[in-house]
Amino acid sequence: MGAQPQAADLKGSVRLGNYLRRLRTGYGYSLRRVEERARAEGGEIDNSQLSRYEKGICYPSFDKLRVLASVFNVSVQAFSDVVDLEDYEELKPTSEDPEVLLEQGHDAVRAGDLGRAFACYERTLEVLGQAEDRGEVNDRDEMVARARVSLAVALGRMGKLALAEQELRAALRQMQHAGGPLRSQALLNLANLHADQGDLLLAEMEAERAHAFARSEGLLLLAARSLHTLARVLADRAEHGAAVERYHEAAQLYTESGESFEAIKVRINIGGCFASMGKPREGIRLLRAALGEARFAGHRRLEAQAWSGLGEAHYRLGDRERAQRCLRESDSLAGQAESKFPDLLFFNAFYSWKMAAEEQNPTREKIAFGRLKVLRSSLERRFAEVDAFDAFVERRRSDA
Amino acid sequence: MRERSPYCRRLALVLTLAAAATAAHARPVDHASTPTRYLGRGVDSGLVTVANPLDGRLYSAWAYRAGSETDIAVSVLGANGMWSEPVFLGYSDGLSQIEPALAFDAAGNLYIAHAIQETGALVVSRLAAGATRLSSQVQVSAPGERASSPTLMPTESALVIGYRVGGRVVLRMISLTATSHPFGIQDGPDGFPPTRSETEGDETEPVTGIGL
Repeated sequence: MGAQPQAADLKGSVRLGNYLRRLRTGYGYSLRRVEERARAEGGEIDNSQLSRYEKGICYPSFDKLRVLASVFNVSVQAFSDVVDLEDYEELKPTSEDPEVLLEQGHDAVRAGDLGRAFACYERTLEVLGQAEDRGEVNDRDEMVARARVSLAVALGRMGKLALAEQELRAALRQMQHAGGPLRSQALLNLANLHADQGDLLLAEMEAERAHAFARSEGLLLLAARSLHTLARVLADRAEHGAAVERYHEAAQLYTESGESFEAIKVRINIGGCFASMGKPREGIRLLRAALGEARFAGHRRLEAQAWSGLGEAHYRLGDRERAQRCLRESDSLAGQAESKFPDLLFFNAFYSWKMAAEEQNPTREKIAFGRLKVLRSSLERRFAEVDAFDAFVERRRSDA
Repeated sequence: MRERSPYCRRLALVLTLAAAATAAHARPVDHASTPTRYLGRGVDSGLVTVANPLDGRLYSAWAYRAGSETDIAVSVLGANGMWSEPVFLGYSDGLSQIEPALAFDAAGNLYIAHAIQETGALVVSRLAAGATRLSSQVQVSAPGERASSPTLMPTESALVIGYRVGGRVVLRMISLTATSHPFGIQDGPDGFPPTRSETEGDETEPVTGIGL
């Protein structure tokens, strides 16, 4: 047996190494099998090299990561997300009690401290793993599933969609014979991740299942969230009339269950639907009302989103000056250092770019395009503007 | 008899598509009734044929080797029993269009999907019922994906496209009932960590949005 590497020998990432090992063993591959698969994908990864990556002794180059991504069927972004998470290592609490750790994680989510929430949930899983080795914890599977779903929530809110999806899938595998609210919640979270990634078919199937369960069990909030998800899938498919109907049903259930944050979000979405249906004035009226509610309640994300929607609606009406003012308002809220909203920043930059092109202002167009490129590199979420930008870049590349 | 849930129907659809994507391009060819200019060998071997549900006319498509590139040839079997001269997609554009898939919806609109060898992109275009010109192409695969083996399945409200990327099957949908283009960000509900009370069916303590 080779000696364990000393900390001073580690120039790579232990977290990335563990992730690679988990992927490899998940597929049931030996190191040599990965070498063969890599060759089949047109790359070269020596098995001893892979072993060094797994031990965190050195970092794989970008080209090697690309090959590993195709071997394990994950995005290269997922690897970079894994490395990013090392920043939160020092936030890990020391508690040994999984219930306490989960509560600390929930508190951090409530406070918007997602890095700390992630650290708490990850620590919960570690503690549960150690307890299993000692054969101690009762209801371990249920608690592990709960910790995984919570971890996925923190990752999803941090924009690390691929990693969040993996955690939810693992949680669902763990609960494959169980029904119940936890499974439906995991399914609904997965539906929204899939919708964020552009997989609308899967998103719809998962949300419908969660909705059927919520209805049969009379779970108001879960029903509202499922309808909300189904509505956003319809809106993403440009079926705005049907989406508005579903949104209204969801808004009513949210109001009945006292969930004001999501109710405001739904009203913003309805405003966006009207703007998309060619009724920008009605859209603006609804968005303004929702903006007032978001501001009054102090929800920065929602306020920024309403400003973005207003910017887009004014752009549709041909009022570029007002559109730019709204987008700037959104930028100032979405770009605040403590927690940025890259999807909204991208959205705002997209319309600034379009307006600069229409006004034949090459300098502003170039600046906005550069900003879009930077933001796109860290954005996993897909929506119509992201697709339009990607298509533009792809066209330009093939023209070149 | 108990009616199958929408989920079961969709699951069946997904499984059918996955199987079809695997088996695509393996259909045996009846050489007696193949279109003009169809050679039935090399890249030409994947002949895809569908019937228009409105008039029963057969439409065939195949990858046609034209010099250094490959185009998609589409031919129609006329009432006189003769295949039309093929129409070529991507003629002399420097790209190789390969692996065509065809499907009609119930209204008689024809959908044509194919992969582009150089970029790995998968695109779909539509020939509306009664029209003579194809719509512009829509790229279905995500940027950077190397897509292959497309399969199409129109449903009542959407066109479902299945294709392969590496070892997995990807499904995408294009709405057929959309009255406008999608734009704007539509946020779903925030992910919510399950508290113990929630997992036991008591919903008194939602953990959403606060502090953001």
